[in-house]
Amino acid sequence: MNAIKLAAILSVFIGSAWNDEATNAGMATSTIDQDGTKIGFNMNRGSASKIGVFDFNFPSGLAEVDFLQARIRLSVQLPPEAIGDLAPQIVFAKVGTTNLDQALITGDAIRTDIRISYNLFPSGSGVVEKQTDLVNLSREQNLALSAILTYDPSSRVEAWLASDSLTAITVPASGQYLDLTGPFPIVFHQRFDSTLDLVFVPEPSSGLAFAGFGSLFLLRGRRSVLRRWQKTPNQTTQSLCLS
Amino acid sequence: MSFVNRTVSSFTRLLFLFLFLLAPLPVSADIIKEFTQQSGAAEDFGSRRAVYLGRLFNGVDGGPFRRMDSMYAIVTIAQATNVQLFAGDGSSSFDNALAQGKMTDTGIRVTTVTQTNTEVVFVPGNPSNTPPFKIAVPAGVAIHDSLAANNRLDFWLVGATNSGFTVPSSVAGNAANFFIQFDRSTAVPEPASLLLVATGLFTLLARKRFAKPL
Repeated sequence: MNAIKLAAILSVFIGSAWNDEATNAGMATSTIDQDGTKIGFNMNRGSASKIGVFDFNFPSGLAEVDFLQARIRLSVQLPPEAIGDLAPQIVFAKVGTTNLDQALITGDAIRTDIRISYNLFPSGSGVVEKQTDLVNLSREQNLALSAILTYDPSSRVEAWLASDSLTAITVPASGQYLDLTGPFPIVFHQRFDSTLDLVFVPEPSSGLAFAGFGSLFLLRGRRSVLRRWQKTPNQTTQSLCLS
Repeated sequence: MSFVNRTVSSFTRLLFLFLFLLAPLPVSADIIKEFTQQSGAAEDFGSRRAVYLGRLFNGVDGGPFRRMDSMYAIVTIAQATNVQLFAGDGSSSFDNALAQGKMTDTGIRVTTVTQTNTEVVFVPGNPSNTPPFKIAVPAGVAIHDSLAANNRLDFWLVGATNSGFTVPSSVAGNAANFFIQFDRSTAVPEPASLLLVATGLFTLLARKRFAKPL
């Protein structure tokens, strides 16, 4: 009987957790035109390029959402030295941020572990479109991102490409290129857009609460047995389990 | 004294005539123009940031010309303010080439209209409706000498160290080109015209002075 109860408790825990992820986990996606604004970063030793303001719509609100992973696609020009620790990072910030150094101090922005490397395919000294893999967000990053999105009435977040030491980074809003094959030079114009994907799950609190109540209900009998054991400590656990 | 007067007067007249005949020697000019994909290789050794654009006019010789008189430049660039265009001999180590006098500032300055886009910038403007940029005489002579000596010209965009301008080699899969056009000339300001003026003045003064009755 106790083994059955234990299995039931475990199934409630596992089932609640598994059920939440399987049925409600999802990926929020936002595509925007790139902004291209560049500001000084890290006391002007580096630079931060504004990718744009991403707009997310969570029908059930953000209160019960955990962000697990993120990835981004963008068009960017990076110098060859932007690899490894020198590769610029994606920074999430509140909409309207003009000083990213200050925003990071005040908690209005958060660095992520998403780095855009020169080596990330396709590499080259031009404006190229790159897409990262899904990168895990830490608990701190998740909370900060939730706070930023909750702060904005339209659930918007700014994404910046920030480098502590490199300035020759461009995230252009648009790009022009020159065709000189004809008798007259022709300039072509292309706008660039960017996509931010956020993998989220419902916050585990509701599932855990349900599991907790279920466990308490199932453990009612067990608790009474434990109380009896405390009164007669000479009995072995084995005998208690069998009783 | 009248003999001296006549001699000086005759000499100056002859000199004046000689220079006058020399002055209208035919001045010829031509146009060389070429484009290629930008390299985008950057160097920053702490004193300046130089981005190599590429090499043009391979195999072009100096011919009878003496200097580059004027030019057009079209480059693809982002976030640039007063970036200098250099021409000369050297596809790498810009600082060394500059120190050795192999690089010449054309005088052209490149500034993008916006600071958010990668732009094609025409300097001084569209060749179809804008007069070319006048190159200073020493720079024009130096650039032409470099072309005549090497039968090619290397081009660099140069800004302050750690400046954030970027020069792409491609834009969304399309080649980012740069274009240069030089108007070459055989005419180089020489002392001839100055001598002509001086001689004329001298003649006038001599006449005035020696025509006075003694």
